[in-house]
Amino acid sequence: MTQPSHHDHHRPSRPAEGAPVYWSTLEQYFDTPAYRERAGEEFFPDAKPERYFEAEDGNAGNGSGMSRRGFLKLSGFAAVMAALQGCERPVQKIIPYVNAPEEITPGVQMYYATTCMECPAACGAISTNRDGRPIKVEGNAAHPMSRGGMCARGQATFQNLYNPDRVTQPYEFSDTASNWLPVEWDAAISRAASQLAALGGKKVVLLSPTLHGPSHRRLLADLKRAFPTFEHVQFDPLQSGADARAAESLFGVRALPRYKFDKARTVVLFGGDPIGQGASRVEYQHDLAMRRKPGPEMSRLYAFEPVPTMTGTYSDYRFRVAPQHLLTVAAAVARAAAPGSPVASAVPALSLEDAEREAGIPAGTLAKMVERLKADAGDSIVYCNAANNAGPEGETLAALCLALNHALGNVGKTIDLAATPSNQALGSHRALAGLVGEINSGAVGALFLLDVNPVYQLPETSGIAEAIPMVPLTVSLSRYRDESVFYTKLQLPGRHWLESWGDAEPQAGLYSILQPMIDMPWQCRQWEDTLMQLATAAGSDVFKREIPHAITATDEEKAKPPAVRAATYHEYVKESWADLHKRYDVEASFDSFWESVLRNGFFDQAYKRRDDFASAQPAFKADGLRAMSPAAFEAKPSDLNLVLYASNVHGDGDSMLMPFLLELPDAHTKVAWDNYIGLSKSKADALALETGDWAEVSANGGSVQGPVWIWPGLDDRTVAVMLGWGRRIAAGVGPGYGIDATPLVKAESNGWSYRGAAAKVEKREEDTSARNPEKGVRLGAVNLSISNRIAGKYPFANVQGHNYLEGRPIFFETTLHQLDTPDFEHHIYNHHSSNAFQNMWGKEHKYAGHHWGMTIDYNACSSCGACVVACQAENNIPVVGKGDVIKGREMHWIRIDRYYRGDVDNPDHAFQAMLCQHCGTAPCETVCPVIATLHNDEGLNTMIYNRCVGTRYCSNNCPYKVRRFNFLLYQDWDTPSLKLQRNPDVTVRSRGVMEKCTYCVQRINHARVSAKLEDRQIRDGEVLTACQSTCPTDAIVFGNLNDPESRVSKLKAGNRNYSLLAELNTRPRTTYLAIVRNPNTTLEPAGTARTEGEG
Amino acid sequence: MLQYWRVYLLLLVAMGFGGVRLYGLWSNAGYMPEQPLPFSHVLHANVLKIDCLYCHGTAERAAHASVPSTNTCMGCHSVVKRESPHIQKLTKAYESGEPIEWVRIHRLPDHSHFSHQWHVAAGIACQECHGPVEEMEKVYQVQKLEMKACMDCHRQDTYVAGVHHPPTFQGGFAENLTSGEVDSLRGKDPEAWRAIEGGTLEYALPGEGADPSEVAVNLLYQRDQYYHGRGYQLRNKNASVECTICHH
Repeated sequence: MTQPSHHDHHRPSRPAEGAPVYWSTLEQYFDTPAYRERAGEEFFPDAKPERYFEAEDGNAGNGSGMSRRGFLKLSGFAAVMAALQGCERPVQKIIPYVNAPEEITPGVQMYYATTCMECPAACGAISTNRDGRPIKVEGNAAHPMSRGGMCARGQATFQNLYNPDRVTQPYEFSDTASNWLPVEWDAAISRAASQLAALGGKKVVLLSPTLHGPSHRRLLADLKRAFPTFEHVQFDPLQSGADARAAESLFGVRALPRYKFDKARTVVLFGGDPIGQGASRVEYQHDLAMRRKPGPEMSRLYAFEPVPTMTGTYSDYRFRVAPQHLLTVAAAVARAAAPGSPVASAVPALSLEDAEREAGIPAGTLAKMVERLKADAGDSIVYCNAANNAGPEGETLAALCLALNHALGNVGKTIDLAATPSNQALGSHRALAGLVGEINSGAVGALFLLDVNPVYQLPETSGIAEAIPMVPLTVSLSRYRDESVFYTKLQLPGRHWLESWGDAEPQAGLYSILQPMIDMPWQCRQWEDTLMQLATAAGSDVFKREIPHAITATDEEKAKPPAVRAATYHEYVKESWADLHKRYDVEASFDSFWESVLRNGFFDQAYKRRDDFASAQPAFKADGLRAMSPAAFEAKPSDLNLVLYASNVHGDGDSMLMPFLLELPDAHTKVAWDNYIGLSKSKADALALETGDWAEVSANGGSVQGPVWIWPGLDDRTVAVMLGWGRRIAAGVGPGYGIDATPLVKAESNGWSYRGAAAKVEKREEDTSARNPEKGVRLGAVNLSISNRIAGKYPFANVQGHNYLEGRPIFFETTLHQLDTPDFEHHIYNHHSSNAFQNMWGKEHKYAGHHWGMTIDYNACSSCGACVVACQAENNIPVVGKGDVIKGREMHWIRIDRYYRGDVDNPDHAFQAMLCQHCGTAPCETVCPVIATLHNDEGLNTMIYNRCVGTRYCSNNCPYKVRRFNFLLYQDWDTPSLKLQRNPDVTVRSRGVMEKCTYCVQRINHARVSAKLEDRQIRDGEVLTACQSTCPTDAIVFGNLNDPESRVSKLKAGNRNYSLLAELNTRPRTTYLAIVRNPNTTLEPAGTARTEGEG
Repeated sequence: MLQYWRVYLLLLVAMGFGGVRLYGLWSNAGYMPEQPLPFSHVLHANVLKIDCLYCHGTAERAAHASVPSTNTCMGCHSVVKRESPHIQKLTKAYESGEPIEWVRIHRLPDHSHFSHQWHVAAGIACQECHGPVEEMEKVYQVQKLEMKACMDCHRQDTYVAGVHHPPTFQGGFAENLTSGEVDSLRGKDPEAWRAIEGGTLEYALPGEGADPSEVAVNLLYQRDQYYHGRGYQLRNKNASVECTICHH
């Protein structure tokens, strides 16, 4: 973009030239030549396929105008065409059922309620089944906890279910062959059972993440009866158990506090990230968003954090502090907000001014915040999420925050400890540390690993890798060959939750059911069945059940005693629910109760106590505050401090098997396929490091090497590395991506600490030979070559630099106080009032029937990325791999753009979900030479794949950059299990075709069929797009604009509504509701608030 | 370039033959494969007057009109005509749990979605697309299952009974474009558009030195010719069919 253009006056000015405005990358901020070069380009030079037609044999100048390669291609095509003359159309078979199941109609979708078990949060889920296979999961809108939301992880779950790299039958490690050999289930069970029977008093240990279903509880108790030495160790790597321990010492109940963010007007976060790393993320996300609706009840969020987190960047105020200063600030706030309370006297005497000075917070801020906190006593939450931080700092912070919440009167009003506490993270680091000791002392005779991977998740210093092989019988129940499996001797592969029976109790009294959707043709058993069969084979009677005689049995057969075998887990779950039926004295018969549970997906006995729990709270015990460590308050930040953090997407590394999640760009850095050593700009400058430089971080006696990422918003004294990457063995996709940060984890007496150690970062020379090798990855990703190095730097797949909006005004924000003033409307390009622009076609479209439109509410959106993955799962969108993302070929139909505003070190964050805007006067339609993209009578900008010849003109002409081109064949068309994953209602695109958001036209068509057959109009809310349906915060609303009563019409009539780039007169159907922040008026005079939208 | 002319000529000829052949593969009319059992629609549908939906019942509930499961056959044939060797074969397959592998005859082109449910609900007889199946001893394909087959009906006013689309189809090229297509043409070439509206533009293949304004329109027309044989217009704006109803 070297020529001046009409919108030059919108270009972001550099800091020197005036007030900083929205910017997306550091290159843009500093207006580097690299930015200028890229800004005007539609496609990256690497992405253009034309280069393939350039001669590659160096003979371009031979005058023929055709390279050898080109000729070979052409003649290959001609040969295929000639060969076609000799062939017939392939014969296809129709294979009907022998006995058709009554409830299945081929081609008709069925919906079943179940429970998502991707993490112990256990959200309610609805599985969409088609011809006997689940193709999509959505949140269960009736579920009282998750209320229809589903996270990115849940949406990607099919890549776990249909993963071709799953272990599909039992394997045993043979010492003689020194290899894993397949083994029959019966043989494996009987051999393991005989070992179990001969343990001689040694312990049988099951190591698993949190298990909280009623059947699981019963199963664990029954296993204890079967094996008196049985012990269950719960271990959630990212949940240290500090919160539950604080509750125990302060209130005498060992429970995870349940936070009600929808009841809190003021929320203060001390390094806490409820929606990114909390125990119940979808619930918290929904609750927080409920209080972000502009109005008198709107909440105000303050965040103190070293690393930008999802909740932090969603907050009204975000302060960067060093990890050690979290306690300093919290202590000062506690003293000022609750003077005279036990917690105020238990913390060191620190004034707010001291804390501000020490932590580098603008003077006067804390005092105003404390004022709010006092005013909203009983109406606020102080949240610290010490979960991933064992050790004195974590324990102290957890206790301090809970005691402060009590002092403010929040416990019983916004925080529930006893009525229906959360069960979603019961694991404890301590228990695992204890287990290693027990194994080393020889007390453990059998160890079962269930859905945990401690060898990867813990640092080498934990000794778990040495300990596991010392156990005589080690069994992995994992679905994959992960790092830990190689330390065991037997793998009895488990099942995915969509193949399993089960139940969950995420909150005390809320029972949620799992029912299987599919039986994959693999030799996998769910682990509960495996353990029950093992116990029975080892001689226990606990799980034995009589099989009743069949109705058709003869008298002679009936005279014989019934056969006896181990119960199936299905029967076992049913028994547990019979107990519940009895315990709660349900009026209906058990059969109808069971039917209703299977239909609804849950049985809610917590509804009375869910919102009204004041009376049930235990008494506060002030001596519990002695659990706080005085030394922790003394800790001072060093020059550079380590923070290892987890993201809501990658967690502890399970995501490495799910390419959807690997390709989902990080919420803040927008880097996909990698983690990195994060440094602030100032710190990186001081260390003479740039983005892409290779460096070594060392802390806690360990060190790791990796590429540097300069991360605006990161605290200057903090170096941050994301956990969950750098898997050594993860089937299929994962290994080789990112860096494994576990060597930096600090072992504490009670677990592992991820935060606060002094760290050192030094530049290193990268060994480029060790870079991710080029590999063909299954699950749809091919062509992962990343040989293109940019100026010797490590290549990052950073999608935020792919398209620049070149300073056009795209993002608007205001404050609550100015929401109703005309001044605000002045900044809004309203869909209804911007008719200053002439329609170049002279004629207006008429939308006689439906007229579809969408709004996206910035106030609700927390940039979690669930919509991106939901869209991929719904619309058969392929994963392209890191190499192609670098080339700008990512295929996401919806993306979340992240913009920074202001200072390079401490910017505000703005997130914008970006998808096809379905323009009323679409620039793409005009330029398509084959009318493959055209306007339809319902306002959709449609894409007809079989017309598309791949000119890419449309993408060039799209001002929003939402069109995606299949440069290569990204879909895996061959792997059988992956075919089951696809949505049969959506064409699976091949290469050479342009595609983009369709507003889920297949769902509109579904609704159209039912409406037409019932002779009625489509109801408002009947069509939910995939992104809308999954959104935990209800930020996306879709509907008929012709209906003035529809939700979307009403939202569009509001004064926050604006359309993007309205001045281009594209008349987008997708519009946005401007973000409304809620600053403290006493803190900031209303006049200085952020109303300027000019980018 | 010139030294390769023979090669190019050969390539062109080969591609031409291949293309013709490929078109034949798509249409598939007259396809009458051998089936594993000699099921007679004449006997069942014509003589015995069994309703089509008795066996192909999903046609009114789903997009697919599926082939009946073996237990549907056995509903009668566990009693009827058990002595026939074919029925014995059927019974054996049923008892062993082996499904019968019928050979698929009707197959839509790629990228298109079709719902039997809508059409059955609208009262379209099976025979309108499938031909007189009740007269077929051995079933074969009658219609070329290509877009033209759909549009031949959907262009007629008797078939366009959508609520918002009064059946008033008439007129020529310009009237039969969607508003989107109209815009598209107008934006590309206002002059050509005026000629279309004024009725002064003839459809002609662009020749040497053709006026570019004609080319745009002719391209559309030719595309129709090429794909749909008889030059049906892009889409009837009055029809109740949007591209995306079948192509998504």
